[in-house]
Amino acid sequence: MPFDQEQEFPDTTNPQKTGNRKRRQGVKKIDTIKEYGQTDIPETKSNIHCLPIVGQIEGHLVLPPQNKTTKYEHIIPQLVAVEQNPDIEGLLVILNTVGGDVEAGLAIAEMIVSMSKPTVSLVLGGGHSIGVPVAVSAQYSFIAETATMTIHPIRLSGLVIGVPQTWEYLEKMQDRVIHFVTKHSHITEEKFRQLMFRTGELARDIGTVLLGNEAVDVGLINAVGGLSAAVEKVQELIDKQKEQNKKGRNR
Amino acid sequence: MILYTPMPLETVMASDNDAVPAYREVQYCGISFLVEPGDKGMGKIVQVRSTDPYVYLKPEFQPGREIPLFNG
Repeated sequence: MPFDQEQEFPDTTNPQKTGNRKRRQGVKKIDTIKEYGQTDIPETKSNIHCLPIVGQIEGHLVLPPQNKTTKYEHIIPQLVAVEQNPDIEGLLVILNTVGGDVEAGLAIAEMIVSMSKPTVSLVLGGGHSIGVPVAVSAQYSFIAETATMTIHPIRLSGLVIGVPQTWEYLEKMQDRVIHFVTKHSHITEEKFRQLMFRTGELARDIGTVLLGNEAVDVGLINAVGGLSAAVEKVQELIDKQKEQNKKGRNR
Repeated sequence: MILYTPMPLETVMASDNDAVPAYREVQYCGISFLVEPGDKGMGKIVQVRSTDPYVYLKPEFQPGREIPLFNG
């Protein structure tokens, strides 16, 4: 039984256990694990956790395997863990997504918006379509100078019946997205709809591509910035929250 | 399901999956990994799924490293 010794492998996520020498020697016995336990890296803990949202946001249907996807069943428990873990003080959401499932995207966005811990989002590369509500769901949002956000109408895939109900259903789905975005950012509904239905900008669709500073100008994103700005902002929000908690306790 | 994406639907839904290896999701040391199963019950790490940024710094969890597929 080659894996009997596995019980002795230290739980590296728990720093208290990793100092145990006896267990370390147990690790070296496992010859099938290449180079395990050879290097000692200092155990440091981050009070900020980061949530990368990449590729397509996958929801109710499993997308074909050539798609790089972020699955909502992975993200949602992670968000619960971040909210619950007392060692984690803030969350940095990093987006480079081409959109995806409307319901899964909105679910993630709603989870982030309802967190009690400080949240900051950073759009790198692209935060398109359903990535827009996810980006604005954080308490403060950043966009890289070269990043873009595509705003376009929702299209129906699959069976389309040419009756008014089809249109109304689509309109309803679109309103969910628009309401969420306008509620959690500084953009007005009128402006967002205007960007969504603009013609002559996209080759295959109607809509708008917003570059970093344009997204800030229309009020969608809070500021243009990169990693250091985002991490600094999380820390600032953490400090602010601590201060408030202290005041609350003294009262 | 409504897909809200600027990517053409044909690209998203194209099912040219001949070359796509079968990845598996494995829990190891309390962290979720996407691994490519190999022999001797080991698998190569393809993706690390964690919100803890320091997990990504650990040399033993770098993509390409092998971890056991079964946890006892």
